[in-house]
Amino acid sequence: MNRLTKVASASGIALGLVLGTGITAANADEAPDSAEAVFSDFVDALNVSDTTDAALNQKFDQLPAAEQERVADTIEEDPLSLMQFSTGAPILTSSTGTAAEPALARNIASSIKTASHHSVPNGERASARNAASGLHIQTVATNPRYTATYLVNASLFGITTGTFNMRYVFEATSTNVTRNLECTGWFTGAAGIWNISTSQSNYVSGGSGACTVRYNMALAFKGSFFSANKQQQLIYTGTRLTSATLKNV
Amino acid sequence: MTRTHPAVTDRWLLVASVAVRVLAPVVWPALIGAVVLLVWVSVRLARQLPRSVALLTTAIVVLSLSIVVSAALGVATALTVSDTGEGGVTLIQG
Repeated sequence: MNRLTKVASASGIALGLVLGTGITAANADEAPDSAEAVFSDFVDALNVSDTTDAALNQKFDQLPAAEQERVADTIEEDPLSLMQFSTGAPILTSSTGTAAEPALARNIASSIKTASHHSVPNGERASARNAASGLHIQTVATNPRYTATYLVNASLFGITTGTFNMRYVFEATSTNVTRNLECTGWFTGAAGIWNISTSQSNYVSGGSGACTVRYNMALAFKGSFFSANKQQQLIYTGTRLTSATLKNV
Repeated sequence: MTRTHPAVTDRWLLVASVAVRVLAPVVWPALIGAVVLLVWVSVRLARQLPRSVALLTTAIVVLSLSIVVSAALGVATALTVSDTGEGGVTLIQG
């Protein structure tokens, strides 16, 4: 072998090493994501609040490794299958039921990153989805809508002089309130010396929905030195009235 | 300078008092008007100038009544409470 041949051989080996290393590096770049990373990307794509994000990740971390793999497979195969949709705009709530996140499907469809390493037969995927059902994020179904009105009359010598009105619109199953749609209150009639303004608040927690209206009653004009406040509240658990009160606060 | 005849002013005061009497229980700014008018009429009556005493006295009665009624309505409103609510609550689907 002459000198030229030796140089060519050495160059070829060196080139081979370089190319081989490059290919290995490229493969490393495309290395499959871990199940945790897949799930994390999935949750990021949901654009949920930080609290919900943390809660979901924590729940995922508590699953056995095999379960985590199955969930990751499901996310990659069909992320929407992790959720249940019904007619109407899909609205996501976390399992804690704390925050409503609209436009979920849009985000998921466009943002979920898929990897290629989780190749599981379809039958396994189906069972994996079922096995992972405890982790499913459920969208709020468009449950029946209910409107509750609560009227309390103020009277003087048996004559009705005014009415505290309240309207609470919510979605519910027979046992749980799933979403509050409207919570308003107002006073009609003669309040005499009072200048009345209102403020409202509402929440859904543990299957119960509450609507609270606060009446700020100021003497003669808003911001005067003397005031008296009232609170009117409706609480429903499903379609069952739990509490209806009007009290001084 | 032309001055309004005192009797004319007294009549307008009475008209204003009646208007305030009607509005005060329902429209809260009228209550402030009632107090202002009551002070005005009382001072006018107390100055012992030739005035229509009957008109001014009537205005004072009307204004006092409006304040008393407003206060009574206010008390009734403030005392209104309910802790059962079952009868006053209606629930409809839709």
